[in-house]
Amino acid sequence: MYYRFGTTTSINCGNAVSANTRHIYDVSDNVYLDGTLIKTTTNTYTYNSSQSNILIFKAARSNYYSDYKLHDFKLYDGDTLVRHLLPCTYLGEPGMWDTVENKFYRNQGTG
Amino acid sequence: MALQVWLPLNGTLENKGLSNVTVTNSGATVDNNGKIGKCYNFGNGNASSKGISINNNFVNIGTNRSICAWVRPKGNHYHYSGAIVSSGNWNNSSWTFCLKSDNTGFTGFDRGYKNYYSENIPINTWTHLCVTVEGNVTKFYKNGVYLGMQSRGTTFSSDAANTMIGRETYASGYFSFNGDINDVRIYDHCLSPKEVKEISKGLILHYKLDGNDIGITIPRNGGLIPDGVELYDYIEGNGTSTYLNTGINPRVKPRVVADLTFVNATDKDYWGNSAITGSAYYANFYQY
Repeated sequence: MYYRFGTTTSINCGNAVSANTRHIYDVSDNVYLDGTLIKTTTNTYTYNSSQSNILIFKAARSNYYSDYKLHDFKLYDGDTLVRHLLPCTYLGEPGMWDTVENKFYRNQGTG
Repeated sequence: MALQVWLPLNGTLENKGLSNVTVTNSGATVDNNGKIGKCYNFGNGNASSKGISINNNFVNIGTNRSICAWVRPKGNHYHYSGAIVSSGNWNNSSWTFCLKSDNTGFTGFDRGYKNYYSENIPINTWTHLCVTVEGNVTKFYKNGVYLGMQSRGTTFSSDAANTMIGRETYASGYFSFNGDINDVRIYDHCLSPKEVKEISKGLILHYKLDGNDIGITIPRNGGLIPDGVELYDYIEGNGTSTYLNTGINPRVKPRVVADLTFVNATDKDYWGNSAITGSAYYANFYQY
């Protein structure tokens, strides 16, 4: 599992997981897979106003996409929960509903 | 397609629609007992000229269109009708969304008061009214329930100039709606019956359909899940073109907790490396 926040180097957690198995990733400085510490890093995150928002299913500066099934997504800024996204449809349109801000997030790509 | 003009009228004149319009109050008063919080009151059945103007040309909304609002008439309306929204010169080129003067019918996108749909609108009660147009078919809804249709021509005029809420736009005489109005919306497309029903529930505030917004606010109404939202077990990207934008560039430090199921090993990382089949799957929680 790869991730990249801020300007740090991409992190490859490298742990094998089987297709069609459900897992919980907890990713920050350290990475936990289903509650087990699998990666320790010494990332230094520095806010930069010009960098992208965090995207799901896509890297911000490329056209590489992912196709996993996402059941639940929480995003913290420091210790503050800023997004809690749940899969949903809103008036028939697929997307995710944010319980923090009561917002519906829709597909930003095509298809 | 978009919600071009959206004035909740809940104590402010803010337009949440797509069109960049200038909204000005000409005597309407704020009432604390609105359908959605506060509302605006336009008169008491006398020859009042209270209204709220939309002075800029808001949009050429084309043939297909919809208009809706919450209304609470307080009695009969002065003169010809109770105008909810009126556009153009009443006596010449114009359209109106209004109640019959005795509250026994309503019409929309109609010249003056020619084609009322007969339906009693109760006084001192909030009622949601909607009129949609698709081609030459005009449909009427009350409280989200489809009432019936009329077949008309498709020529409309005065979409823009001299548009008023709560008052006729007759050039030499102004007669206001006797009562209160909330949540006026003008769409540049024909709403479906389902959409009209959802809006009439008073729970869902609609959204711009321009595709640029990444988050649509859906107020809760006491319950955990807003009306219109149906939860599912998962959402799945298609691996080639779909993605979500969280709208967050974290200030302190991001942390993601994701419950997910990998589907296959065809994903790639930022650098275009293929996933390592059998050893890792790429989730792409990327900010870069």
